[in-house]
Amino acid sequence: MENSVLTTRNNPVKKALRHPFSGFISIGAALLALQIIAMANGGKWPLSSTLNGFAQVMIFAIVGYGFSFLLGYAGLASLGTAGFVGLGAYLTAYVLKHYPGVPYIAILLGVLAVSLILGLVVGFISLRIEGIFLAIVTLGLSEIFYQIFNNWIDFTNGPNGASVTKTPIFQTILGMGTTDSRRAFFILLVVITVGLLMLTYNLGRSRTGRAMLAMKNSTSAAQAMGISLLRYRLLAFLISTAYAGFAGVLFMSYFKYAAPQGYTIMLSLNILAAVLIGGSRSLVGTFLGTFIVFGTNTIFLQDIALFRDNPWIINVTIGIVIILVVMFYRGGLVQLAQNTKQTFNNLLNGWRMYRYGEDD
Amino acid sequence: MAKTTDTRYFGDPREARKRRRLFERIERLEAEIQIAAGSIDLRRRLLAEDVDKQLERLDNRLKKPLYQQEMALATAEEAAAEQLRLKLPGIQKKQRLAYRKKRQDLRRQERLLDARGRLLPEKALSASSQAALDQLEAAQQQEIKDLETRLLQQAKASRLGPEQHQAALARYEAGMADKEKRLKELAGRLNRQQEARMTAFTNKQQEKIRRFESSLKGYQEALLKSEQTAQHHLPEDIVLRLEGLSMAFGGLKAVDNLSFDVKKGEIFGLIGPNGAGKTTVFNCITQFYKPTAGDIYYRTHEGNVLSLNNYDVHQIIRKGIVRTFQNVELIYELTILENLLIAAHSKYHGSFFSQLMNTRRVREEEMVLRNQAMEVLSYCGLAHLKDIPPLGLPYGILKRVELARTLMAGANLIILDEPAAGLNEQETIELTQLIRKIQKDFGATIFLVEHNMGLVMDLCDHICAISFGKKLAYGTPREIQNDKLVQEAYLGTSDESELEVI
Repeated sequence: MENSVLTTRNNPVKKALRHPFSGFISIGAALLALQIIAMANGGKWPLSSTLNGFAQVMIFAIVGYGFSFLLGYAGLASLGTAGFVGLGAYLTAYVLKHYPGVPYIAILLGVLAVSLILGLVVGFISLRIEGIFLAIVTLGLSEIFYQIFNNWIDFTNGPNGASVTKTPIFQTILGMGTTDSRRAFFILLVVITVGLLMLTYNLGRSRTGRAMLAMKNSTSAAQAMGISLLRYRLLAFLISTAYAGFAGVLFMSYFKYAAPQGYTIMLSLNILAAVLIGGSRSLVGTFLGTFIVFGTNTIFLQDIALFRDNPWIINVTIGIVIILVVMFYRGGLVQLAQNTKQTFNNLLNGWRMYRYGEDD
Repeated sequence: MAKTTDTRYFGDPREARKRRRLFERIERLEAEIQIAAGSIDLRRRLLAEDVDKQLERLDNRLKKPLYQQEMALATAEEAAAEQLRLKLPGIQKKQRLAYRKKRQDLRRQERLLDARGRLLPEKALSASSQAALDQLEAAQQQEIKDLETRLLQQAKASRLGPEQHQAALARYEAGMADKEKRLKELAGRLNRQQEARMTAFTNKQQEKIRRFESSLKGYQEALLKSEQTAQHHLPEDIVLRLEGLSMAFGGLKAVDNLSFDVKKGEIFGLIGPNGAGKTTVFNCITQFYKPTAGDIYYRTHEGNVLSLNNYDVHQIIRKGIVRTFQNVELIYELTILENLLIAAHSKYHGSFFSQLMNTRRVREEEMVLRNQAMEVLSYCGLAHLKDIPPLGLPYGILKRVELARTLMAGANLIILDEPAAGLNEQETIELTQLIRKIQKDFGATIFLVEHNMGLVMDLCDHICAISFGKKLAYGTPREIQNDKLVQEAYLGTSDESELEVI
């Protein structure tokens, strides 16, 4: 009787769960749930400072996605990220303050255009120099941006920092209250973060991602296979600067304040650290790394007196984590997770061996 | 950097530029046609698989109630056997674990194990323990036998009476007939649906192909007309011609006024002592270096003549010239299949935004090319390695992957830089066979540099020997072997050998 084969194969739920997008969506759903809980109980838990921490994580995770493309796929190093984020933020503040009639989407597109042009410039530079020298050049660029933010008073309001009075769209057009519009913008941020995760994932798996990996591993093989170095180096920088500029706009729209001290080399290094800690080719890893570098402090550790009074402990810890990751887990936390799983399996097998002996 | 086109070969420069543009359009259209045609086959297969899967699922669902009825109708022995078949694997697993546990415990008691629970070599259980184990095994077999008899009794007790049996049989048969009918109905509907979808898709794709082909025809006609104005001096049977090629690095002339022809479909060897400039010649042909002087003419698969110096290094592969590298250059972060897809890079046409959105077109393209890559891999005998990165694999396999990569790119002229370097004898023989097979099956011209003289003499139709960038001799393997100049270059004249001794 062959009738007894009644197993259900091709379970659609299991299939959907195996799809990587389900992971991205569950990250988004968790963040949304936090915001909805806060709305439901009037902000008692989670506190708005916690939510702001998560918003910061999301915004810098967007920068991280672009940066992971540059570092993990194209193998190019840049220390100028902070400048591009700051540029996006300051341009938004300037336009919102001086030309309140300009629609938000126009600001977004404008900032993207400016970032793309600057990305093109850095990309052309990257064709001439590589490695540590490229990092130094982009560091110089970042320093120029910092000086502009600090000293060009008319444009940036100098050391006092630029600020925006109202959250765009929600407060200006829909006329919501300050708190409500911030909550609404948080939700928009979650949608954008998850959407960009998906798009970036698609791009990494497409021929563009493959071509960039080929370029990183062997320029001569890549060229012989028809991959134009010019085109893909430029593209890598364009993607990274566009993401950074975009994140800058979102930062200004959510936090409504930017000071030049926020856009020094420290931010670039933090983003580099976040991408490295998470795993430079994994998007979920990048999100996790950003959470560790930008989120743990504001979300958890601020509540603990020890860390609040001695902020240096956190920085030292992050430094140690970076050293450990770079020394032992080049693939970041994602690799750590895989290794842990492997170790666990090995231990389990060892125990089985001890208990039952060899199977013969 | 690009040189103006040589009038000797291409006639009026303006016409030549026009032709170059036409070539590019034709290349693009041909790739699109290939993808569209491939997608039809692929879609047919996928849809057929989908129908099969759906029918199987439905078959299982319909069988579920009937299965119980069938069990009730079967003879007691059959029913018991079926029950046992379902229960046996679980029981056996449990018994096996219990047996192993008992054995391990006994061994531990007798101190036959090391600290990690492994059996020490050449140690056996004592007779009494072995007897205890045998007893356990017997008890376990008895347990299964008991279960069997119990199941048989249960089955006998639950058999239906003759009248009930008749009724149940009738019900079962009716159910079976119903099932068959439903299945047939659904299969018909699904097939019709599939056919309709397939026809729509095929029509759409064929319409697309027809459109592409008509414009392709237009381009080709324009090209032909333009070709008539040009004066090709490149004979029909020549694929590659080097004319006075020179490459200097500062004061050093790595290649000096080198000229030779490679005929269509042959295996051509370039030999010379170390540092003779062989790899430099390759790098000049593939435009990694722009030659300081001289021209390189190439006839494409379609018969158009190109001056390669006019192209950038990444455009060369689109003309059908693919090279391998002396020190295998593979992408170790990607799997072997994806390494092949890198070679198909110029066959993709999805725009940047369609890649971001992962549109249907992009997925289709990816599937067609993945399929093609799988075919190439199985042709080269690498299909079992498709999902692993090439890191740490034997050199022979890596060289094979590089060859597969050239096939994936649809090469017309394959340039092999020391294909046998670092291989053992067996691997060299296998590689030689593969190269022969490729030449025969794909009609590709193969141009190789090699130090393994046995392989070169065995494989090549014509050989060119160079030394210090200058041509020494050109001819068949036999002629080269007997050439005085070549012998001198390899073995040295008496003066040089004295110098070497000093």
